[in-house]
This record gives sequence, structure tokens and C-alpha cells, in this order.
Amino acid sequence: MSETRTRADRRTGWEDVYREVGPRLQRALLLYAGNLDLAEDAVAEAFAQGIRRGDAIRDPAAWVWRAAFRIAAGRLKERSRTAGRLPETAYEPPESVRDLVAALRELSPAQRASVVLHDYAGYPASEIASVIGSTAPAVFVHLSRARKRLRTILEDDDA
Amino acid sequence: MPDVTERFRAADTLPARDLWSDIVTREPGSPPPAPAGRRVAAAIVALVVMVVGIAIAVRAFHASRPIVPAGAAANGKILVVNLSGDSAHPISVVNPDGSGMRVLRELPANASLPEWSPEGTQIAFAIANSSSLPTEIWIARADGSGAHMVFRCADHFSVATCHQPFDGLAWSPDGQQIAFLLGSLYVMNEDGTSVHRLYAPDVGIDSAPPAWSPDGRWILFAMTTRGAPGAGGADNLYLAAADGSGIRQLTHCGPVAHAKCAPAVSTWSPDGRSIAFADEATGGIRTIDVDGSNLRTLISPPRGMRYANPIWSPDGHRIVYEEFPMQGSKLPPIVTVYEMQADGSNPSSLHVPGEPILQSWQRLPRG
Repeated sequence: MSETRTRADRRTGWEDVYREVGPRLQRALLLYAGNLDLAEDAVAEAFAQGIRRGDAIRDPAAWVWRAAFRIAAGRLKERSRTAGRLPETAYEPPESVRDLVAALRELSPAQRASVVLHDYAGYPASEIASVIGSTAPAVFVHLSRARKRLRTILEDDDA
Repeated sequence: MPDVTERFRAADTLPARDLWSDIVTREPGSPPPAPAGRRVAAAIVALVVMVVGIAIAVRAFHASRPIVPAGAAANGKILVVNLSGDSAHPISVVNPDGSGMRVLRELPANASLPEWSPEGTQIAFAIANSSSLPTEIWIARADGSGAHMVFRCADHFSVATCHQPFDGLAWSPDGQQIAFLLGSLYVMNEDGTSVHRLYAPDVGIDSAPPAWSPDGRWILFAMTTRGAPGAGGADNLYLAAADGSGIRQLTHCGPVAHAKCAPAVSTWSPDGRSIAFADEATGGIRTIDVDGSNLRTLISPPRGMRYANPIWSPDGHRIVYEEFPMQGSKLPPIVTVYEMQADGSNPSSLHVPGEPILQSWQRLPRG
């Protein structure tokens, strides 16, 4: 087999990755960003970048998770710079997660990323640290605070 | 009301439009910047260290199998999870001065939350299942060999329970039982039999490992309690009676918004009289007497920094802990391990390589 794979070959490999992790990544980003367009854009951009880089990426699934979250964080930062806070969205989540999405918006970006990546996506602290540019102990702190804050908010909502 | 974990599971109902046709026709923009100063982790291994996690040292004991009496132990090696090395085998041991780090490669991949047995001859640890939740408990020899599973969540509990975050384990001082946090506080025999729930929280137990008292009577854990509507909950330390007769609140930190303390990972003094804990409210290391009195600060971090994961040495003289920058700080994201005298004096950094998270301190017979 040739050492150099064609672009079509690469796309085929990436499509497998997309089929495997794409939907969960989209949902995680939707929880993180609270914005459907932004979540879809971050996923599409991350995969498009990954395909362009091709064989330089050893672990496409890991790479695309990191890239997509960083892209989403960058987009959120740009928007909040102009909007002053986490951008509002016209997207109306299903009722089963409406409270959760609303509560997540009250967390800091690091807390939000930590709790979504850990409690929804099942990522270990070391990987979360690499995504948000922090340390694993700091991730644990974010996680602890995020859970407490979520419990408090959701408790109050139910009261 | 569904808890936070159940709410996250419901997120699988969120829409996920097929984006593949968009992806293949998309012209990518410039790559997003990587966070400054951060090492890019090597390949993802889906199931490594998951939790907050620091299993706490301090294993004084007596009771039915008195191996090393409280206060008479010497300091052995410290178990750490090193996140910058082999990501499949992050559990390592180091000498108390930070030297001689050795990866326990014989442990199964993805082992996490290791804890020395009271004798210092075995290690209990959690291991991840296929959905990356550490729902198995294993035991191995001190060198990592002979690992065998003693508890598998699916054999005892529902899927919903097994999807609760696993937040750590603690060995009883007589070595005959293991406590663990899986949404609730559970206790089982060290061979995995007689699994039973000791305490079910109203809201949720925090992501800090439990710690068994040196006299065997109490299991320490952190918990967020429900507050009055609009007032927010409160974070506190609690003591659960090991015989199941109830719990006792140890700290009274007040509502989160105005808390005077917010205990996280905590560690018993070997004599059982005091508890040291990482305080998320101040970022410092604090202590409180076991009767709930005498809350005091041992050491406060410099501006922009935070301390975490204290472990009291088996001989009672020292406490090791970690320092790292708070999120948003301009400081590089580096973890530094420190030690100090048990009264908070003479802090000094240890040169532990990598990105270590302190887990548990081995007790050795004195002499």
C-alpha cells in the first residue's frame, strides 16, 4: 500500500471518525455553547481542519474533540466580547435538558467545559486539562464547583 | 427531581444533524490557537483518571487486625497519578522527597484513584469501564503485580447507579473493608462481598474521596447540601459512622455565596484528632478538630494560586500538598508539590517530575 494516502482515502477515514464521535461531540458542544449554530460550526470546522492535516494527526478522535472545543471557546469569546456575556440563542432545547442548558450558561467557561467533558462526554481530567489549557487539579476544582453550582441552580429552579 | 448526572444522560436526546456533507465541502479557516504554555497531551486514551480525585493517605489503625498502631508508622512511598507520562499507566510511586518516581506498569491500563492498604503492602484502585466510568475496584500488590478485580458495579447496581461519578475509595484501618463513593457512600469487604450503602445524600456527595478515621469509627466525606430556595446550598465535611448509625456534620461553612470555607479533599491526622482539608473558598490548606472546633488556616496560597490535595504523613509530622494557578491566571499551568510541617511551618517545594496529583502515603512499620 502506498505511504501517501489520497485525499479521498483520508476523507473515508475521517468519515468513520465523524460517524463514531461526531454526534456526541455536537451534543457536548451544544451543552457547552448553548448555541446550535455555533456547535455545528465548531464541529464542521474541526473536522475540515483535521481532513486538511491528514496523516499528521495520530489520533483523529482525540484531536477533533480538542480542536472543536477550542474553536467553540474562541467563537464564544468573540461573541461575548461584542454581546457582553454568553450570547443568547434562538435555539430551544428539548424539555428534558432545557433546565440543564440554562443552568450551564450560569457557569464560567472553564467550569462549563469541565463538567460537560467529564460528566457528559466521559473525558478524564488530564484530557480536559489539555482542552482548556489548564492542569488536572484545576479541572477537579472546576468540576467540583460546577457540580455544586448546577445542583444549587437546578434545586432553586425546582423549588 | 433528576440529579445532575441523569440530566446529562438526557442530553443524548439533543439533536445532532448530519454535518458530513458540510464538512467535505468546507474550506477550513486558520487553526484555533492552543492555550499558551500547555503541553499537548499525547494520544487520548479514553479511560484514564476520572475524578477529582485524590484518595487520601493517612492510614492509622487498630481494631481487629492491628498491623501498624496509629502514631507508630514510618513514611513510605507516595502514590501519585502523573498526567504527563504514559497516559495508560498514570499511577506512579515516589519517595517522600520527590525522588525515584516509578511508573507501576504492571497495573492494568486506565487504573485510577489508588490507595495504599493500611499495611502498605497492597494498593486498591478504580478502573474504568467501556463508558469511561471507573466502576470497578481492583487490588494489587505494592509493586503493581497480582492485580485482581474485587468489585464490578454492574454486578450489584443498576445502570443509572453505575453512571454516577465514582469519587474515590478508602481502606478501613484494619484492612478488612473498603468504602467508596458512587453517588452514595458504600462499604464492602475487601474481597468485594457484602456491598452495602452506608449513606444516601439528599443532593449529592462531592467529588472528593472518602477517608476512614484512624480508629475505624468514622468515614469522612464532603457533601453539598440543599439550601433554602434562592439561598444556595452549602459545602461541608461530614462524618458517617462506620457502623451505619448516622452522620455528623463536621464543618459549618455557610451558604456557598457567603461561605467561610468550602472543604474538598481532606486527610486525617494519624492520631485521629484533626483533619486537614483543601479549602476551595480560600485556596488554602486548613485544619479542624474532629469535634468540629478550632477551624484554622495552616497555609494560604500566593495571589493567583491555589493549594489542593493535602496528605498527612503517616508519622504525623508533615503534610504534602499541591500548588497550581487558578484558571484565568497569567501564570503557567504547572503543578508543584510542596511539603510543610504539620503546623503549617517551613513549606518547601519538592521536585516531583511531571504533573503529579497526590493520592496516598504508604504506612510502613517503624523500625
